[in-house]
Amino acid sequence: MLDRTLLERLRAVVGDDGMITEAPALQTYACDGLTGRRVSPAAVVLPLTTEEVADVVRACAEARVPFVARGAGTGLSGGALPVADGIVIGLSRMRSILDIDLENLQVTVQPGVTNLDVSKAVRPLGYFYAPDPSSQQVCTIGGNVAENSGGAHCLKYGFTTHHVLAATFVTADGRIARLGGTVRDAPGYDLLGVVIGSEGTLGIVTEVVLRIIRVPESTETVLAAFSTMGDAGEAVSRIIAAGITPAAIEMMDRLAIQACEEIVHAGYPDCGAALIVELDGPEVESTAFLRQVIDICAASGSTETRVAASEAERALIWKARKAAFASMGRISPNYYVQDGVIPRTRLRDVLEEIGSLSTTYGLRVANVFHAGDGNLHPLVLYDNTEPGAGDRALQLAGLILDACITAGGSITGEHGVGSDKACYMPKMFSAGSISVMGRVRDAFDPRDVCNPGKALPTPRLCGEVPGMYRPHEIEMAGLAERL
Amino acid sequence: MTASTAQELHLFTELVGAANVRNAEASDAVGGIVPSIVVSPGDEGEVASVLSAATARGLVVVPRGGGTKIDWGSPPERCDVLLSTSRIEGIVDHEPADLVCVVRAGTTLGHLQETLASVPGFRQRLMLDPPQGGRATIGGVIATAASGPLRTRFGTPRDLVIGASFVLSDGTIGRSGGKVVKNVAGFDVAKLLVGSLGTLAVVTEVAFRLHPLPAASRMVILESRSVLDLCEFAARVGRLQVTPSVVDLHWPQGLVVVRFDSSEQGATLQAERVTREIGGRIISGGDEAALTDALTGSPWTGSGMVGAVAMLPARIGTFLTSMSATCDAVTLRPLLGTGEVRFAPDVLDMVRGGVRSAGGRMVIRRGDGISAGDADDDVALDLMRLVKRQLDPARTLSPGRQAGGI
Repeated sequence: MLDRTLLERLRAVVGDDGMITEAPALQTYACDGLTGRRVSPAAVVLPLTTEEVADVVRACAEARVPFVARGAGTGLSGGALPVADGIVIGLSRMRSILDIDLENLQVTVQPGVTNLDVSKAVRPLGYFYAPDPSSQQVCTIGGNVAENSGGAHCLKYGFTTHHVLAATFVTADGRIARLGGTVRDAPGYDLLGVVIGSEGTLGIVTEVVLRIIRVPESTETVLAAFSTMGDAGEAVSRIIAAGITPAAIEMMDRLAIQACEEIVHAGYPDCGAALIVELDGPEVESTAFLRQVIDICAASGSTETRVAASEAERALIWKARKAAFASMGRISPNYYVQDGVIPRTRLRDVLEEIGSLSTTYGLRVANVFHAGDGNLHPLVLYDNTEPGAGDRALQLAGLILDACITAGGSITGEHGVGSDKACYMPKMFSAGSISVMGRVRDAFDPRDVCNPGKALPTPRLCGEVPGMYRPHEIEMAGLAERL
Repeated sequence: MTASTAQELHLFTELVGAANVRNAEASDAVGGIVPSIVVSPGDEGEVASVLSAATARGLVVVPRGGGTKIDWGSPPERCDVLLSTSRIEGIVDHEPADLVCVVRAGTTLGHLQETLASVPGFRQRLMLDPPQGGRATIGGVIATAASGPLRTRFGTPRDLVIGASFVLSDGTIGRSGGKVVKNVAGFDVAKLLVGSLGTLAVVTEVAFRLHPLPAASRMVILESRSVLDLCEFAARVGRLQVTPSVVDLHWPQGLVVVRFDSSEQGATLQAERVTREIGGRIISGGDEAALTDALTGSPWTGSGMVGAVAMLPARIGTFLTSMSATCDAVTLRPLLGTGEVRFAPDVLDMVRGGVRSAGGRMVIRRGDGISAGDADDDVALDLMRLVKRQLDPARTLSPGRQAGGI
């Protein structure tokens, strides 16, 4: 049980309306997008300012009570999973865009601002914020910083770490620091660089300065159909090898296409695999690259290519792609979403291996993923009412990760390690490497109170198995999709 | 030779072999501090044993690559062992179709670029072009976070590194990242090492994201004696929907150079768009080559102090206006607000004043008072000290070189 003095101290900081302690309301915060794991916190506090966050953190740190920062809770790896009897610091009320500085191409936001709202604010002026995770309508910049979020277009534009210039940062003991700078090349270590992607385990960002970029002059989108995933994978490898950097290359297999067509009716061809390739930039470049991409697809065995002739056609192609995860419900009662990365040259091999694993386990696997950067999202389909199916699905998903590691890839491209994959870390990193990461964490949080047990393996965690997929409330309500 | 130096020679000879240990000479000095001995380990295992042995004996180790930027950062408090990475050399892995390479820290950037450009069917490049880049080693480029004109489009080493292997002063061998371009597993420790000035670890291997060499390049220049015209021209290029690789402003040449790297048609049409909508002129052939030659190394060529400056992009006009008669040479990346200035030592205070009044900062890279600069924020500085204490508690590695005397 949590000490009442701490609760009273927190209440004094955030007020009654910034404090949740009733059990039913706390349930909302019991999980993030990894809904299979739920832990009720002792309390949720909803601060309004950097100073309030610092006061809350200081109170927790002094009482040695763990705290977990939370944005919109769309993360898929349990990074925002509360600690039992700990505090959740919800940043949803800190949602102001504080400054738009067009001259210097910088926007300053609070962490609760949604990703899409940044682009919405500057798009009328001809600019945008590049990272575009699929949950961008609801996910927040604070969460993006924690996870180093990418999105379909990070192939060309990079990840959150490439677009954050500075942050106001509350340390794990409640002090306020300024990391990075609106003026580049701040002397000293690049602390911001290690904070981004640290999954909220080093501290809490309370103000973020983002780099915005000019909207490209032209965008071309082509949908290419292939008989097999192998052929489509080959086309992806050849596009990358040709030195073309599309804004996005997405791939879907037959199962995924069929599921999407049931919902969106986008008119995708009935084929073994479809590629969506988007090219943007100066018109002269995007049109020239478009021709080259179509040629490469043809040489790799595409049966059909369709270029979006209008904004509406482009939107329809993307709508089907983005509906892919949600549409799995049409073809399977349950599914587990995996997130792994492989070198782009290994697409054909690893996709074939996933195919044979699927056969061996007698479970269907739908593939919908960011092919351009080798980021796979195999969806392992199963029926939970069938005895043992859930466990088999998890095993299969785990073997897919093993295949990614063996191919020279990574256990997560964008969903994060969180609490879900901490135990996979030793498969990818030596004990020495993990100890160095642990020492970095100790530098920031020697008391181990700031989102403990996430991102890095602990003996306690690694006796457990990765969580199972259940739809999140916001997903059920149609507010977000998983890609 | 003192008795203790003889002991050290013996110790390190046992670890890396007699051919790879020698007494230091005056030319081995780092920031004016002459080390006792120079040790050249051959691989990460030898780096680990050298570092643990040094730490156990309280010796200070300063890593050195090509030595082209060995004076960047504050002078070390002391230097017993200069750890040369010259034998940790070679390209470990290059997957051209994946645009990724893994390279050992002692490899020169020049060698890497030549190799990448010469793979049949794939002409590629690491998009980094720091000053004195040919002889610079990968490890040194990481330690100094050095970049050049390509920074405008491709960023600095932090933006292109996808993984790193390193050795801590207690001999711990670690790695972060990997060799795939998208990866969020584990802390991005490599970001801490970029710009760490050799104070946290010895980097032994780095994985980079690569880019294809462009099929064609076109250069647009604007010449003007008005600094404000030059700044305005650069800003307008930034607002145009084109993607230049380079936008550099040079003074006293009175030039903005814009370079497009693309297909033949892509480069040409973008260059033409700039001249049509904003101004300037396209230069090519011998003129382009001559200009490129003349500007290479600017503002480093010539005598005087050199400072790295940074300010908000919108303030470079203010800065240049006050500095055009004070500095001997200025090269700025106007879209980023960064660059380097060269000036005579007696105008140092004026240059500092000019930087300050533009809201910027400067760290000295050549001349008296060379330093890593000062951290902007006390709490951040404290966190930096804590990181140092965790990774190098004995302060074996390059003590005093980083900002704040870290």
